[in-house]
Amino acid sequence: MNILEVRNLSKSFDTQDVLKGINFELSQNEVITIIGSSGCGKSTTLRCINLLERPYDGQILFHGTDITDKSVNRNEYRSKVGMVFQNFNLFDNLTVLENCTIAQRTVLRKNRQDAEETARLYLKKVGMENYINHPVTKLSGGQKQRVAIARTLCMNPEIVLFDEPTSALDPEMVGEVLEVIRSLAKEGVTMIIVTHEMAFAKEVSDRVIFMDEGLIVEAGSPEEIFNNPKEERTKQFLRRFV
Amino acid sequence: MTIDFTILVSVFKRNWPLFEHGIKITCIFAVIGTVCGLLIGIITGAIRTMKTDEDDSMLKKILVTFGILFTRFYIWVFRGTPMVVQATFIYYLLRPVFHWNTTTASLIIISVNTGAYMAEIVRAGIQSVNEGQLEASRALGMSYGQALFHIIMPQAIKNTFPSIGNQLIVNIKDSSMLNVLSVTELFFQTYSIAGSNFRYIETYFISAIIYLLLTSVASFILNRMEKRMDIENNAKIMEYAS
Repeated sequence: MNILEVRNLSKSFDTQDVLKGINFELSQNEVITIIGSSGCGKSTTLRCINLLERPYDGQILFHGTDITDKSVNRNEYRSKVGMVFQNFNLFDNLTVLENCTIAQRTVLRKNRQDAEETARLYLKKVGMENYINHPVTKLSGGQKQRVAIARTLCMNPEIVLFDEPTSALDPEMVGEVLEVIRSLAKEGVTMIIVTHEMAFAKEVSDRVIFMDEGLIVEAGSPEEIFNNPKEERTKQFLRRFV
Repeated sequence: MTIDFTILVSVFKRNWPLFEHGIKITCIFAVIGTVCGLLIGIITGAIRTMKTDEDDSMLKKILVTFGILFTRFYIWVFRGTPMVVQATFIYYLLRPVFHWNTTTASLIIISVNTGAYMAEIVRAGIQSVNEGQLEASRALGMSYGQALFHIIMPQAIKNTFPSIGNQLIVNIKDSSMLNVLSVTELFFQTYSIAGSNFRYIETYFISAIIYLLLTSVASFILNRMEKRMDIENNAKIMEYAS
């Protein structure tokens, strides 16, 4: 059963077509990574899936329901599809713990105790349990991103979207964040990851999608894409990483 | 062109109860006007930043558009005319409707006038908050209202606190305009005292010193509050470190 199906997804900003008809599906427990050069539409695809961008055309089916339809409750849908941003976007006015409880309390309407219990559980999972009362502005990039991942997991989402989670990090902090994502993959969390970390993509993905100029050029298992790419554009792109 | 200090002292001693009453009224008007003005400013400033998108219902679009137009009109009128004129005009205009006394009318007018300035301060504050804060809130499933209340507004107010505090200083001085409605604030009292003893220079000199003292105390308190906000942040770190 497909948890998410993207059909003919199109998006343009002004006159520029950013997505020209994207099709793929995501099944339960699957990890998909999307690779491609900057400006190819990877991030826009993720942002459309979360409805942070309004698709121009096409359908996004979540358990068979088209969530681009006006009658769908977007806030409820978004609470089930977590998003981890390149720039973390932690709430600067809140502590680490509050960052993880605020949406549980306002969106899921949990009481403080339940919310904090869940938050502590996930903060422990990402190794940030000792920073619970820390203001987030004083954390390092890697720590911030780990808190952001915990914040998303606290909502118990069915899918987690990662939008270049390590691109804004200093090189020495990339490892700690990838380690967390790797452990989630092992636990069977359903994820779509946009990344420039090719070795990581090869390692964690069940499927890899290579995009170029707003289209999916090639999709397949990590073996197929990284070891035997069929398309010339995929080969060209991957050559730059060797 | 000289100030006679023995006369100054005797004017002060003889009229202290009148000055004291004026100080009290001025402080009450300044504080209530600033606090109520801030509340009005938070609401109108928030309305001004509201956006609609294509998917919203017609009713919501109409309400938001009307709200934005109304707040723009309000800010335009109340920032563009002197409070003295507003006070006189509104008091007499609405007296047959509300049968209000000058004190109530004056309190409302100073609040509404301050609200127009606060609205612009709050709007600038909201716009100063990083776009990512709203995106992260929405991605977790919060509504715009929840994001505004829990995430955006606290940061907006903190960022613009010096400008908000400045309105208190302005109100200590500008409440003197309300003498047109016979509010017995400090200027009105000064005017009455000078009118009966004909010692204009000495009486107004005392008044000026009192205003200067009031505004100095206000800035001192505001500075302390500003520092305290930073210290609170640091205290959380200390708590963690120990």
